[in-house]
Amino acid sequence: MNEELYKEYESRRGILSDVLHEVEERLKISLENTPRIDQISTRVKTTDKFIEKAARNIEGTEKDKYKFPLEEILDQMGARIVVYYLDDVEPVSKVILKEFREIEDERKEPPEVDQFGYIARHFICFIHKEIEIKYRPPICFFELQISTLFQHAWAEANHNLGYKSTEDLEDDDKRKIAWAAAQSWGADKIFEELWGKYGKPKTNNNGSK
Amino acid sequence: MMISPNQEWILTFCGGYIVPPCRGMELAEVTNLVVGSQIPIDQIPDNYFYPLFLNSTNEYLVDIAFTPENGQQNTVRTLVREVAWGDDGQRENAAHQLAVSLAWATLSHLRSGLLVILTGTNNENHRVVIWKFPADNALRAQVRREGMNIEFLSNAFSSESKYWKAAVFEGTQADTSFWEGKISDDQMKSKTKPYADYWVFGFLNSRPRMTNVEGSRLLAKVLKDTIGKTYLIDQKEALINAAGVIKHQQDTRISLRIFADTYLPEESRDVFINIAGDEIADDVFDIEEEVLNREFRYKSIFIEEDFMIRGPLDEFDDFVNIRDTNRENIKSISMEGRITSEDIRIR
Repeated sequence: MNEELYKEYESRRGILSDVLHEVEERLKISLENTPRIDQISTRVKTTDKFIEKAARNIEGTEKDKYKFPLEEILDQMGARIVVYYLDDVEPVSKVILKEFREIEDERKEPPEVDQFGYIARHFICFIHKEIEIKYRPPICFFELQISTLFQHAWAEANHNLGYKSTEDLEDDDKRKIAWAAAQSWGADKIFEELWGKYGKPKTNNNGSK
Repeated sequence: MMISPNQEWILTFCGGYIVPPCRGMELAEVTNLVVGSQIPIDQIPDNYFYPLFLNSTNEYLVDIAFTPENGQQNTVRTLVREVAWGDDGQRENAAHQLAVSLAWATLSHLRSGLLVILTGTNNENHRVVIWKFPADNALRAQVRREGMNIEFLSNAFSSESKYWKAAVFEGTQADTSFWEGKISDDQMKSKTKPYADYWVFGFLNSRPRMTNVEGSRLLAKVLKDTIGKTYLIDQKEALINAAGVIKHQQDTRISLRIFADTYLPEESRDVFINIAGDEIADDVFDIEEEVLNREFRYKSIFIEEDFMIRGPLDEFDDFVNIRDTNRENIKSISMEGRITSEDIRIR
């Protein structure tokens, strides 16, 4: 393990935690009038997970993926918003984009349309300048994921299996994980439809509810 | 390469390009109209450019951020990074593309400009400074043995014009660096236009780093804090009125400093800027009325048309107690608190 890197990251976790606390407060305030949010949570990446990520190679090669891990690992500060239905992702995203300046706005999904796996909306955002001036953190961005309950459930259950790479899995296990992802995708689609049919506030022809 | 006099920054590349206004033209045509090249570092007037380069991060006050185009991509950011540490060929190519990009973004009624790009390194840090000097007519005077000679220069470029612009970007070669920068734009001094849209949005493909929501909320917070530190009734009223005026200027682009200079009484400006902090006072944003309405709310009640009680909405009920009486339309009002100011005026 890179001792120096370990110490350097460990020494910054306190400030990152303070910064993230303020970010979380701001997220909660900005979304207080947005319905159907199950949870808003934040975390600073643990040192062990940071070192593990910093040691990764570019896929298929022996080359280091990160030349400047302390600058390049984007999820040192991470936030997650879990919403009920697929329809709820966009309104939350709009609030986020008004509140924070984004570096990245990406929908993460499997590369092929007939594959099933991780799905979420990802942002990398600048922290507010007021917070940056107050704490002078070593990095000024955080990662934000927006996912539905089902997307989050699959992602958490999959993540906690503990495998490092899909190359470690047997073929049947890969299919099982993909099958579970397909179920969560399907559940999202069904509830989106049902929400539209029964749950969503209806508007009259004249636009009133 | 040139080693700077105090060995702080090593200048590594310079490019200069004449950039005509070409907005609306075809890209191929624009590419042919932009002329210029790399300039050897030892041939640039370093006593002019080096101080500008060195002081850029202190003097360029408005933070900007590149706009992501597709995921995390931004063409201009890629070019800036190539200019910063590419090989000679890559740097010159990237610099030329930046010049073409500026020409393409420049509105046709604006003047041509001289684009100068200067890069340097300091250990692992790289800095790229970009200047646009607008075209200007000038006179050159020379005293010769045979007498005074005056020459009209039509191909001069000005460093004093209000159309002068600059941008600086700095970082390491990390993939996550160079996402933000700082700009200077002499049009900021007009107080009505903090920067030219074509320079930030068109050429640099960027936006202010501060969002409108963030800026509007900050304005409300600093204004409230300023009112809290102000004891004279007249000044308090002027500050509250300033908020009322600015709320209705939706989409006005402003900074805290411009707001202070334009809308606040002179006695309150320094207090306001001190509370805000110099580091944040020049960041620009558009006013969001909804945010100001939410964050800056004062409640006023008039009693018998002549008496007024006014205070922040979120504290009003803590200080002012209003009760019904057994007389119709008559309320009993009581307050407890320190009298911090008293004023008698002839109206």
